[in-house]
Amino acid sequence: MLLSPEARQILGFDYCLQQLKPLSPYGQALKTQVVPFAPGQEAELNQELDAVEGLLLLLADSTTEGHILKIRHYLAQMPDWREPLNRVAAGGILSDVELFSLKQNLLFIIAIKFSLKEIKSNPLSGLSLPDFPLLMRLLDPDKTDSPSFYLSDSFSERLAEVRSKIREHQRTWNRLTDNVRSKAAEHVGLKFNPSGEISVPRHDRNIRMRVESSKLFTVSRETYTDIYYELKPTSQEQAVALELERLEKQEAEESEKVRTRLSQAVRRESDKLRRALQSLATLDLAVSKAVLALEWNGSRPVVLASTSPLVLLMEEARHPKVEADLAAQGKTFVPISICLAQGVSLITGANMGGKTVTLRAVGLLAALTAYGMFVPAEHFVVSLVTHIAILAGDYRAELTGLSRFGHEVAGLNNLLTLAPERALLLIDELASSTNPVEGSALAQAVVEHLHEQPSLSLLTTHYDRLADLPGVAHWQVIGLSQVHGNELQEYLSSDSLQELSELMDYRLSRVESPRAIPREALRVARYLGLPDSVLQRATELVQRTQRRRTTV
Amino acid sequence: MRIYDLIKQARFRSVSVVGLAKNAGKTVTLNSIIKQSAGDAVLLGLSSIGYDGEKLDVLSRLAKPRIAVREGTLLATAADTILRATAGLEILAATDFITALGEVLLVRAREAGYVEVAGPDSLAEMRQCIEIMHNRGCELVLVDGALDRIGSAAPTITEATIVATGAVAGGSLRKILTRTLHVVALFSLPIATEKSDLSRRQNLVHITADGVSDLPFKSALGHGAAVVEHASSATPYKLFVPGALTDSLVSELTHKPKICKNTTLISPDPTHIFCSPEVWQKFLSLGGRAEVLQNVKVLAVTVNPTSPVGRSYAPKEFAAHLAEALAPLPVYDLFLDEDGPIGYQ
Repeated sequence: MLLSPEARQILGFDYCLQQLKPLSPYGQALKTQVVPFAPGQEAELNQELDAVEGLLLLLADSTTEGHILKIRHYLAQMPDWREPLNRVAAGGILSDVELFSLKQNLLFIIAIKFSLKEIKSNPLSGLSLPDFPLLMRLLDPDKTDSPSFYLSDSFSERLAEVRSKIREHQRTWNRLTDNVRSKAAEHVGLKFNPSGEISVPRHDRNIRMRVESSKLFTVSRETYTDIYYELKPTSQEQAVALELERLEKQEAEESEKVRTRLSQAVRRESDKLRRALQSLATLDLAVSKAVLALEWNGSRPVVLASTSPLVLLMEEARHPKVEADLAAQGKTFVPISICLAQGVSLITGANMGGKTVTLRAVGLLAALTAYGMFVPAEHFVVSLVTHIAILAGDYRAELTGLSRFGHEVAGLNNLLTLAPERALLLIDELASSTNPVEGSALAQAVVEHLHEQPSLSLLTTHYDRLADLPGVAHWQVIGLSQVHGNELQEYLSSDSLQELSELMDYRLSRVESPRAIPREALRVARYLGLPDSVLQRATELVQRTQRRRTTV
Repeated sequence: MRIYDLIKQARFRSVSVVGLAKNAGKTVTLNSIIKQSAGDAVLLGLSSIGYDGEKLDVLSRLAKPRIAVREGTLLATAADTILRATAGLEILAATDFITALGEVLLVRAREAGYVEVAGPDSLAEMRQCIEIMHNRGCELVLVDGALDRIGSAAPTITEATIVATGAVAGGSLRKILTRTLHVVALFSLPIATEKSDLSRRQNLVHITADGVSDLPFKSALGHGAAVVEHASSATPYKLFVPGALTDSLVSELTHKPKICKNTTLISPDPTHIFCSPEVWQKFLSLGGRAEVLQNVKVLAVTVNPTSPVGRSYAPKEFAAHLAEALAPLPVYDLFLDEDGPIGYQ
């Protein structure tokens, strides 16, 4: 599995997948089934990205945009025909409603094919949408080209014949009953109600006598106050009714025969239909990827061969979820750039400086690439990986019943088993949940171990000693280092969190020579309003430690 | 004058039929209108909204009342009902409206016969179905409104309504009369002059000569006393209640006669008023008034004097009672006479 459910959540991958909106039931089903491309499948991935890029170009071109939007419009209206297809392939007989929705599907396929032809360049090279001339002819024997469906007389001569007989007998029946009824009504001097009954009040013996002695009626029901009579059918009426019943049965049988014949024809083309629905799903998903790429202003990821060591380079990347959250608060996302290679890279810097967001963006963009999607960045170069794992602070620690440290060790354990693979490993604040002496020692040991592995690891940390390790790439959040003291003072106003985000420089810079991690925790704490007395004492203690270190 | 003639005369393009109880005779009323319209060769549209006990038989999953349709009639009905119709039905289009009986489809009767009609589940969907049928050329769309909460609101989306009542609507003649008169009275409530200002309000609104103010409640349910407290006024005032208007709020008011006589309640439409006849009568007799943003045009009342569950009334006396109480509204006993209302000559 490329991503654990927890990692999908932390990285914001599920959120991004929700933004991907195929419109047909086929595309929606395919979306839930897609598997990420694994190392070695770079060629297939590129083919998928070609399709998305092709569609993106068509969407961006005003002469072709309309055709793509039209295709999306058709896809959105397609009724789901997967279940009837399975049923008919297994020998089932289709109902009128299923035949109607098949006709709809076929008409939409024709319309989509027409739009694709208008575009001329087929963006999906492997995509073929077959024609179904035979089925269309069968479903529309009157050649009306109308999307409606009815088992009309044209489907079968026999059907037409039986129906015409039914109509004839129905007319005879109506004539007979009207005749009998009006005579009977006249005879007893009463009107029939809409159910074909006459009602006689119980106490009216004269009328009851007249009705009963006429021998034309039988009692249909009684209430406390009234007796309801209906006409006894005459032998002639009975004969017609019997014949009608027989004919109606014939009509039902013949209709079912026609449905059976149609179903058999559909069954013969069921494989072809299945392929067509599969192509529609592929098209739908690719178009929705292109639409999302446009919304994100995304770029096509450059995928490196799996034969070379792991590399990940991103320029001006954005995290869509964080960006959306910030936009809701009226803020903008500061794009992130970073370059990582096999082994270990570190990010250090101010608290609240966006280190975790960087970690999440790196994992997210790598995951989006593996799923054949464009990424929200100016430029993104990446190798395909077997796993993307993230260990992030105390996320859900309380749910597992472990302490923060216990949770972290369990996660670390899991992560280390992935290290011998071509995996992308992300660790937020390594070993920060225990005492700093043992914590930093543990962190160093982990870094040294990971650095020897074929995986690519990115860690955020506050431990000095990690940055000094040879070969480890060190990135730093620019943070508050460019902010002068008095500027800081000015911002110590009411709405500190808001101001802090304005002062903070979230960009990363590469640290080439070994350098101490900047001490910005106390400055940040000051922004957030910690009392001066406490801060002053803390500053003293920091200075004392540093002096001691220099004398040693 | 027949029921259909009333519709034709007023040129209504959509009419709903609502029943006050099971077996109140809705289907008979619909069938009667359909039959009467045949002479004019009117292109009819038919649908239904909501479920009542008779519409969906849980065991057989059948929508029971069957309606006789003639050739050409359009219907908005669920997929399962199409499979069981004796009428020959051409499936014209799908609607995307899903019900327990499958998707609602637009169909046309190619051969006359019987159909069980089960339309969409919501008013908004029903409104769209009516529009679709009008666009397809239907001159009159009939909507069968079921007994449940949604179906009972069908009158708000049609131009006119026929109320079907009968022996099953209450235990005694007096009760049936009361229920029927209550519903017709609510449907005919006057329209509030503040209509346009209120239609988009989410909260209860208190209106006096001095101005309009929102109360801190979205619904009167559960805090009738607090609402009355907020709204109480020594001078005449109006209280707009956007949601259900129930006995609890109105009884709070009737407990304070002095406030009550200054009160005008405003409801979005009559189908939002769920007060019992007794409480409502008390409110009115204490000087309370009520208005709605949209009322319902009641075209006629149809009466079914017999009930399959036992009790029945001497049909003529029963219908005559109702006709007298509802005059000048025409009352039809379609079992006795389809050609004209009770009391016509």
